[in-house]
Formats: sequence, C-alpha cells, structure tokens
Amino acid sequence: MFGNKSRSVLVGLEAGTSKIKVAVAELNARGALTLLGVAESPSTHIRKCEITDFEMTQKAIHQAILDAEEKTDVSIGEVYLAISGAHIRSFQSRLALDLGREGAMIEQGHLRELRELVRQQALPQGQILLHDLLQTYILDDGTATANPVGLFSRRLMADYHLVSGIATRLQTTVHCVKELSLRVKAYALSSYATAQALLSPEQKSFGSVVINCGAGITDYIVYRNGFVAHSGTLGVGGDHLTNDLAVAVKIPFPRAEELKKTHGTVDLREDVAHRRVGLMAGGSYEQQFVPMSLIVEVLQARQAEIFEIIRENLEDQPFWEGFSGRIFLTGGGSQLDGIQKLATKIFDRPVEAAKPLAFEGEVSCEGRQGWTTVLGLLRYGRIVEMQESGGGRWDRIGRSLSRFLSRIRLF
Amino acid sequence: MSVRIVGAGAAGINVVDEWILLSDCPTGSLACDGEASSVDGSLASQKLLLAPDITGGLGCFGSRDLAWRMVGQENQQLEELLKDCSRLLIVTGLAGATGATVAEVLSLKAVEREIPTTVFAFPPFPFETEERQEAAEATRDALPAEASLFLFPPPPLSEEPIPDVAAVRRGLRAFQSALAQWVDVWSGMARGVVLPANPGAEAESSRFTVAGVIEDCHVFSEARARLDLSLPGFLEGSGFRQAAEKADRCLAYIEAGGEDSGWKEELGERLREFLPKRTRLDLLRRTEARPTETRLLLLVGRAASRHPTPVCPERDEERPAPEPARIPLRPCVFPEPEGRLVPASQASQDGTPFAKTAATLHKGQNLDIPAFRRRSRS
Ligand SMILES: Nc1nc2c(ncn2[C@@H]2O[C@H](COP(=O)(O)OP(=O)(O)O)[C@@H](O)[C@H]2O)c(=O)[nH]1
Ligand SMILES: Nc1ncnc2c1ncn2[C@@H]1O[C@H](COP(=O)(O)OP(=O)(O)O)[C@@H](O)[C@H]1O
Ligand SMILES: [Mg+2]
Ligand SMILES: [Mg+2]
Repeated sequence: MFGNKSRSVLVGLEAGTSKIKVAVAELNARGALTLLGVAESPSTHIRKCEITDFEMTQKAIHQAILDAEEKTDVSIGEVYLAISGAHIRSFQSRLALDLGREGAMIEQGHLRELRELVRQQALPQGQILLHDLLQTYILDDGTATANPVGLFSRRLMADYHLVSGIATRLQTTVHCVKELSLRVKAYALSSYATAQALLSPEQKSFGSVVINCGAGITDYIVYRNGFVAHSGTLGVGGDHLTNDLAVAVKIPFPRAEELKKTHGTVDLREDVAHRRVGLMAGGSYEQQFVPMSLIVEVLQARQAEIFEIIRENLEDQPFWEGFSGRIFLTGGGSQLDGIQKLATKIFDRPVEAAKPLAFEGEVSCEGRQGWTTVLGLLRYGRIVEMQESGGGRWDRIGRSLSRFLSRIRLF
Repeated sequence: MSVRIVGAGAAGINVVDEWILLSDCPTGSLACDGEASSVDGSLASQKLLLAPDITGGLGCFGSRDLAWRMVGQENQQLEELLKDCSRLLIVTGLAGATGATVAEVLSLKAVEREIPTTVFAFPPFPFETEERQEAAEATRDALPAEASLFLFPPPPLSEEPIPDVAAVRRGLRAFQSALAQWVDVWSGMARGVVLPANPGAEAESSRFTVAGVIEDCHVFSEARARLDLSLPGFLEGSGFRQAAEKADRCLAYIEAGGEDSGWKEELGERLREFLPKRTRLDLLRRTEARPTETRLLLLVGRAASRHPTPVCPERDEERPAPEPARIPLRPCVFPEPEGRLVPASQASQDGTPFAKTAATLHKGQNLDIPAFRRRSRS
C-alpha cells in the first residue's frame, strides 16, 4: 500500500449513473493541486447510482482508469471514491454532556466524549455511518461556538450532521473498485465532495446550497456558518427528464436524450413557444415534428417537481426561514436551458450556475458541470493526504489548523 | 501444538505479509481485520474477517465501539484460534481500532490460558489526532501485564517544511520490513531454531516472553559476506550508538553463514562498549544458518512500567470527582427507507433506466412515472 510513488498523485473516482468519471491531480509541495487530466467511460449498468451489473460496471471503471492513466501518464493504485444513492440518509443529532450543577471548565476530553457518544448512536439494522460532521457546540447559556475549550458551563451540547447508508450497497460499490486492485483511500458522500469543488470558505460560512443534478439522482447539501447544515438525496434525475420525454413524444430513450440535450428547455420564451423541432427519420421511425411547447411542458413538469421536493424538504429545516445564502446548480443536468430561471422561481431566491474553484495547471475545469463531484473529491483527498503526510508541515503552519483537521473525520 | 503469528488490523497485516515474504518457514500466520480488502489481499495462511454482517466487510472506520462489537461477535472464532496454540505473537498498530481491539482481547484470552504471548505494536505517528494518541495509550495500558509488549515507534518524518511523501512512504516500508525480520526471529525462537547464545545463558526458551514493556524500540540490521570487517563501521554509522545510550535492554541476533572466524564470540563485548552498564544484553543465534551471508539484527529499547500511576495532587483522595453523567437529549428519529421494488411495467416503459431499481417513492407517489402524467391527473 505504500508503493514507491515518486510524487503525490490524487485520483477521484465517481461511478455516476451516466458516466464513470476519473480526475487526476498532483499535490505539489506547497499543498496546491494541479489538475493533470480527466477521463470518463459510459456507465450503462448503473441506475440511480446503484450498480445493477457488477461485471459490466467493473469493466467500465477499468476502462476509465486505463484512459486516465494513459492521458496523465500516471499509474493509479489508489482512489478517492464518491458515494451516493437513494439509500443514503442524513439526519441531525444533538447530544449533551452534564458537567455538574456547579459547572466545569470544558476540556478536550469532553469534546472527545461527545464524539464517542455520537458514534455510539444506534443505526437501523444494516446501516453504517458514513460521516459525522460536527456543526457547533452549545453552552448552557445558549452560546454557540466551534471551540468551547476553556469556557465554563454546566452543560455542553453538540450538534452533528450524520450521514449513513446501507452497508451492503456501499460494499458493492467499494468492492467493484477494490477488485480492480485499486485501493479506496477514502470515501465521501457525493454531495459533500461536490461542495468542496465549488464553495469557497466565505461561501460556506455565508451560507450556500449546492444542488447536483445527476442522471439518476439529484443530491443537495447546505452549508451555513461554515459547516454542513443539511444534506439530502433524491432518486430522481436527468434520466427521468429523458424518460418522460421518451414517453410523451413516443421515441426511444437514446433519441429522447439527444433531443433533451440539443433542444430541451424549461423556459417557454416567446421565440420558442410556437416552434417545432424536426426529428429525422431513422430505423423504424418516421420523420416527426415535435412542438417545443410539448418539450417544455414535459421537462418543466419534471424539473419543477424535483426542485419542489427539495424546497419542501428545506422548508422543513429549522434554519431555512432565516437562510439568506445562495443556491448553486451543478451536475450534467444543470446544463439544461432555462433551469436557473426555473429554480429561481421555485426557491424564490437567487440561483446561479456553480463554477468549480480553479486548479493549477493546463487542464481547465471551466464548464465541467458534470465533473464537479470528482474535482471535489480531489480537494477532499488533498485534506486527507496532507493530514497523513505532514507532521512537520502542520507543526509549522500552526496548531489551529491541525486542530481543525483533527475534527474532520475520515472513515 | 502450534505457533501463531497474528497480523491484527491493516498495519499489522502489512508487517506479517512482509515477514511471509522474507521468511524461509512462514508458518502459523493469520490475518485478522474487519476490512475485507486487507484480509483478502493478505498472504497469511489463515484469514479471519471480523463480523462481515455488521460492517459488510468495510471495516469499522476507526470506531472503537464498533470494533468491540465486531470482536465480541467473533469471540468464538478467536477462542478457537487459541485452542492448540503454544505461543502467540500479535503485530498491530495501536492507534487503529480493529487491530488494537483484537490485540487486547486476544492477548487477554491467551494469558488466561497461560499461552506465552508477545505483542509487537507501533504507537501512532506524531501527526495522528490526539484522540488516536489517547486511544493508543489506553490499549497499551489495557494489554495484560503477563504478556510482553514491544513498542516500535514509527520512523520519524523528515524535518523539512514540506516532507517528500514518497520518501515518507519508503521510510515506512523500510520500517515494516525491519520489523518483519524480528517477527522472523521470534518465530525462529518459537520453533527452536534460534537459541540464546550468551555464555551461561539461562535455559529460557524465548527472550520475547519475558513479561514487561520494552518501549522506544529501535532496530538495526546489517547483512554482509564478511560482517566482522564492517562491524565497527556499521555500529558507528547506523545510529546504533545514539539509540544505545538510552537503552536498558538490547537483543542481538546473529545468523552466520559461511566460515566461523570466532569473532561472534566477541560480539557481546563489542556491543557492551556502546551500551550503558545497566543494560541487559541478550544474544540470540540461529542454529541452522541460511548459507548466504552473515546477518546481524539489533534491537534496543527501554524497559517501562505498563501502568503508570497518575499523579494529580489537587485531587481530593477522599471524595473522587464525580463522573459526568451522559444524557443524550434527543434520540434520533430515523426515516424509514423508502425504496421498494415495484414491477418495471408498473413504473414506466420497459427498457427504461429504472427497470431494475427500487422505485423512487415520495408521499405515496411513484416518481418513476412521468411527472407530466401524474400532474395532469391530479
Ligand atoms: N494503515 C496503516 N497503519 C500503519 C502502518 N504503519 C503504521 N501504522 C499505524 O498503525 C495504526 C493502525 O492502523 P490500522 O491497522 O489501519 O487500523 P485498524 O485496521 O483499525 O486496526 C495507524 O494509526 C498508524 O499509526 C501502515 O503501513 N498502514
Ligand atoms: N445540455 C444538457 N441539457 C440537459 N441535460 C443534460 C445536458 N448535458 C447533460 N445532461 C444530463 O446530465 C445528466 C448527467 O449528469 P452527470 O452529472 O454526469 O450525472 P452522473 O454523475 O449521475 O453520471 C444526464 O441525465 C444528462 O442527460
Ligand atoms: Mg454525479
Ligand atoms: Mg483498518
């Protein structure tokens, strides 16, 4: 496992519903990431982020890895893996520690005890904990703080955002990768990884929602005050838009997919309202004209429903009323024409297309909406890697940073 | 009766694998972890994957509680291991969860059965979290006093502001293979091919089974055709002198192929020149030397007490401070999993993307059915 690699190379792998995506970056001596290249292969046997054919998926992953190795001239032995699926559950957990009637000074030990407690929580049968993300500590007078050590209180509470998933489903994905002699260095919830690719620390603390519109799944995550406030996964995505179109227009799925990408829109503007799209004859299908109004109606019904379900879920969260952050759209599905406008209307808040934070190097990540998850994995991996390799390095940068890092739990 | 060498946890398995590669008689190896990938990938002759039904073979992700549950579940398997075991060596990283827990439970069970038990353990790297450092301490203290514990600090990281990751990895690799050589010495003693060579040594079968903790163990090795010629240079140049200064325990293993020029008898004297007076030196030698070359392995460390008594003068001995009570405020409410398999035809057209998956249900609606249909209906 500790091969003689001459440089530190990070690899992000996402087995998405539409494509297997791989991104390779070099972590340089300054701790900056240089994107070396990206590769993909079509994933035909993943549905809603779950593998339906093990061998075929393994082949597809292998193909993407080989392609990435060729493009970047790197031998890949280790990957950071994105985890997603409709089986993922996330929830809040608040724990409290009684420090006695007289009160006591809060020490590191108390924080550890809380963390132990949160990990001891019983999960439903068959589920395992993927992430326990600390949000804040709360003292008995209601003060919320990220670092209560040294303060006095009679009670110490902590809020956690927990993410769990069904063990067997995760095992399938991980196994698929490991059988290719690839080591899975760490896993990250797909939306959590995606956010790392898009949000600056300011955006995380100001408040941001990232909605990742994938093919089989739409997942979302909310950052507030610098921590993850909420996350969710909905088993509906771009494939559903395509399928609806296929059913409505009575064309096969691949044709509908093409139609969606070339002419699809959810914005019924004046200039398109009365147009029709000509579909060439092909195979057993005759030439056909589809009114744009039908396309818009079908796609809008679906995309609006997706956003409405997410909005309802967000409205159930206590923080949502006072939330003033922005909403960012990403993922392949966010390239649908008019989608920002639709989302702005439904959420009644500013919505914009997300831009991946820049990497060093020649390979640009601009406009790579479908790639944000793997790009985020690289940033996630960077933290893991630096935490692992750099006693000396962190000593210099200072204790505060290492304290921060120690709070990020990696599996 | 048999000898067992258990690699516990990923780190322990790595070392045991190294040993299997270098040993001429790698018998009795066992790989034990909760992570299927490290167990399956091991070269060990016997493998024990812990509680796959709890973690699905994914391991416990560093959670000690989960590790305890896993080990608890495999109680019977672990006892089975000790049934005809005459001597036990456990190799593990102390800061992990699985390996450390297995080491603790297995060594307790072994000493209960009066099986001579040795633990080779590595304390955490300085950069590992405080939480892990403390967990490692706890395991160290929890190991039974009857077992002998050797603590090998992991190799120091470079002092450069930005360490070269590749170099760090090489260092770790070298550290693990040095350790593997000592696993081989232990195994040689257990099999009776490595014997004490001190003049007038007590008839003690294994220096490794002396109860106690030897901490801060540093290892050095040299292999040459004519070791007698390079010995002074090796002792000076390898850092042995510095390490020996603080040592009060030294093990020297010699395996001499080829011609015996008699210098090995002097080895003890030569080493003594470097060691403080109080240091106990044990010489070991292999009876049936492999003919290739002469090999010298040195291990120096300090004897330590296992259970340091905490010093806290402020504490009122009469009335010990009350343990903080734990009251989780709000029990978690888990949403029921929503996925349910619905026949494909009911959900959508055949051959659609959702044919093989659980339907996405939301508030009683099947979201796999086209939205425009459901909407126009309502
Ligand atoms: N994983 C790993 N850990 C190592 C290695 N060498 C030393 N260690 C130490 O061993 C500890 C335990 O890790 P590991 O065996 O993976 O944990 P476990 O599988 O839960 O028992 C780590 O925290 C490190 O301090 C190594 O090669 N691999
Ligand atoms: N220009 C486009 N307009 C609308 N949808 C698009 C466009 N480009 C890609 N998509 C959709 O994006 C989805 C793929 O997004 P991606 O983030 O790659 O998904 P995944 O990660 O689940 O594989 C597909 O459903 C595809 O139809
Ligand atoms: Mg995706
Ligand atoms: Mg492990």
